[in-house]
Amino acid sequence: MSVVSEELSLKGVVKELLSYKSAILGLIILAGLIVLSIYAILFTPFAESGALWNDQQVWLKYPRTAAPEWTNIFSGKKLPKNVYVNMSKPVNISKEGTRIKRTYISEFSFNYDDTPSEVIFFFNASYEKLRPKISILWIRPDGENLSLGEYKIRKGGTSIYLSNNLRLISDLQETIEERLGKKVNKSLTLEDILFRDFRTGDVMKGTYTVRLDVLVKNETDRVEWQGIVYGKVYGLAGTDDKRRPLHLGLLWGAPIALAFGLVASLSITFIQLIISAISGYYGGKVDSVIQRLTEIYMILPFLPMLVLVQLLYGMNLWRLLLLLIVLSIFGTSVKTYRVWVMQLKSYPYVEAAKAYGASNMRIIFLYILPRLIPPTIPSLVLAVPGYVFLEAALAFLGLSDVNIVTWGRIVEEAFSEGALYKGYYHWVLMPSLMLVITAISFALIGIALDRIVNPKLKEM
Amino acid sequence: MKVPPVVKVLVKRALILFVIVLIATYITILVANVGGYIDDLKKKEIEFQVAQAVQNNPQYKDLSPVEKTALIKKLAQVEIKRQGLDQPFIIRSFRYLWDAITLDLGRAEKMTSDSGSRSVRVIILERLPQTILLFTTATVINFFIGLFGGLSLSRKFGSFLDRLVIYLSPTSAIPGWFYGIFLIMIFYTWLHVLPPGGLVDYPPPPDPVGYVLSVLKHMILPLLSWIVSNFFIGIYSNRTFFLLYSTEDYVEVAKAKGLPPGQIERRYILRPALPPIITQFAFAVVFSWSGAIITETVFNWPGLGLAYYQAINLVDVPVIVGITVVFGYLIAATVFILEILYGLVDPRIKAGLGEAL
Repeated sequence: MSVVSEELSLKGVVKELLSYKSAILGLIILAGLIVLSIYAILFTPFAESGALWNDQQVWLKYPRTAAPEWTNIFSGKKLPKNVYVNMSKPVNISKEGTRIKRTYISEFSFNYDDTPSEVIFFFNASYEKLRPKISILWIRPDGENLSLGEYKIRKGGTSIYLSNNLRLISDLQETIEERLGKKVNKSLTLEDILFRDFRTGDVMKGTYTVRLDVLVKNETDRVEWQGIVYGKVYGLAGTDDKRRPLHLGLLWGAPIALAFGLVASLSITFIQLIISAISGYYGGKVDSVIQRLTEIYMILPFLPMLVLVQLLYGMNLWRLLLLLIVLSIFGTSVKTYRVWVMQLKSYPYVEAAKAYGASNMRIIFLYILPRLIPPTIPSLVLAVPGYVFLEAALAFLGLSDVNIVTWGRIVEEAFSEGALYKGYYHWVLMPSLMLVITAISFALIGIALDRIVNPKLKEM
Repeated sequence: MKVPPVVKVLVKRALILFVIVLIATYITILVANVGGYIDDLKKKEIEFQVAQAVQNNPQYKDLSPVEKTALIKKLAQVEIKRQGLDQPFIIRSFRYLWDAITLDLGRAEKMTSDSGSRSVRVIILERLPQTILLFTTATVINFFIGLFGGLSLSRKFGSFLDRLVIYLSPTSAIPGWFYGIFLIMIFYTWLHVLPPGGLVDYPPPPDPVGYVLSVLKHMILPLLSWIVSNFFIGIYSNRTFFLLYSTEDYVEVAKAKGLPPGQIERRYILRPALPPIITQFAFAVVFSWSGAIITETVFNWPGLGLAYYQAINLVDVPVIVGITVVFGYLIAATVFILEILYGLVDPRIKAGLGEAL
């Protein structure tokens, strides 16, 4: 089967490609991914993405393992989003002993079908001598008042995590039991206490009020605060257990996945082509050395070698790419391409070039290689998903580059944090979806290209 | 005595393969040793052995700890010199090669086998059967699905089923381990019908029948993940392959002669297609060894791949190098079996014309 005989123009290939519905779908997905990548590079802090992703402080104000917002449509339940309780001007300033007391009152409305995931108050204080003291009072829509305790604030930022304050929670539960006049049989969470009707157990909708008293020593002591009632849904893709919004990770992973897959596939195919051209064209000793090398390469365990080197020399995506290329240049495709070169070598136009004295390099690079490129394009495109998933596979083995965010790394983190067992499906599904649509888009285009450049397949 | 040509060819191929394995293993050793890891390992191992010998020797039991440490250091130096670790790397690298070839893979730094041994060889031999069981089964099932699916589809060329398979073939761009994640999600997290991973239930059933059934139950998801991943592309590529063969002139002649379709398929399509099919199978097996690492990690399947993953997490270099070498052997063994099969099915090799390939 002589594959190289077909003359193909780029324009013709594109025109024919557009006659395949599946290829159009693939091209649309690919175009979408490219747009996403450009957006990620131009409009988000892509250069610092790795550092940002690893910095837990950056994401404090996002909910933990929140599902994507659109899941509300399917669950039929309106899960809460983040609600911010912001500081306004103090409603009252009074003296209490030698201290100054500032009272703040903030209201927020809460109209969701489920309790929030967490309640945290953030403080930022600057003071001279004595640490400011704050006390929080929670007033529910049904008029129930709950004291959330008194706290001393340190200089700089202080966060008060109410949801894991077990002492506070058991105190509050006792308060409720006193008011109800009976025991509550299960241990309640802070969110249950703050947001549920004690009798019916339903989530209370309406206006909640937070009263915050700040006691400071000096007039110049300043305390800024914000309360966050964390939601259970966030954004387009939800968040992970370190509160990182996944849509950013997916966005930042797109250019890396595309670049890695395309660069790997392109460079491996072209280097293999050059090697096979040299092997097939020169023949003799050069040929047999190259053929023996491909046999050695076949025995080299590919993935273990990659893992070994990554492990011993530290993980780095671009080193992985280089290594991947080095470990693939004498791959089995060299044998296939070499046969094509040997066919081409005997073509009249090559003979003619030889006759007028063209150099060997000129013949290889200008007369043989250009003819070999069209038939290799389908396999080049079809190989891209393999490389994208290879990165994911290495990430899955714990060998991911910590300086960048990749889809594989997000899937690995989800899997190792037990997202599958804890029911955080979005955390696995969203990055997986990106990997899958990337793979499918290249496969759709590649299979269509295969039928175009191998006309024998087209009839079938 | 006259040696049949097929044996001659096979012996020759075996020798060439052996040389190739030697070179591949040597490359592995070079790669692993550039960071000086193997040297450090060997020295550590010697120090450990010497320390053990000194501790257990009643002759030295009255020495103070300081004297003991000094003695251990001195004896270790002697031993390092005796083993030639002070020699240049080039000379030593061949010694390591010899160790690897003779499967003298050294001691693990942190990992132990299930029987408690620290020997890398024992660890590997304990894990190897599970890997071969799972992935050879997966490859064989995939091979036959592709073969028979492709064959039957090539008869129904152009039908709805045919087009469906073509349209669904891009799903195979997703690797098996990745499908594994979804299968766990569906069959374990959601439906609770199959275990998410492992080899047998815990505690293992005491009777052999129960044990085998339990292992089979644990094999379903990993096998399924590979079958799903390969299903459509396997059938699609085989179908195309058979269609290409069925357009050959001699098939037309056979049809013109009025031979029954079954006979045409067996004699004129399958028979000449056999060598490439076998190659395809061998490559699938070779590929499965590499795929084992990640799939076993997803399914927590206690094979060589999982051992590799655990060794990575513990940075246990002797185990990593050992398994890399063993993977090389497995691939070489597969290629050799391929050569034998070729010898059986390809008349040119039977006739001693193996060089023509």
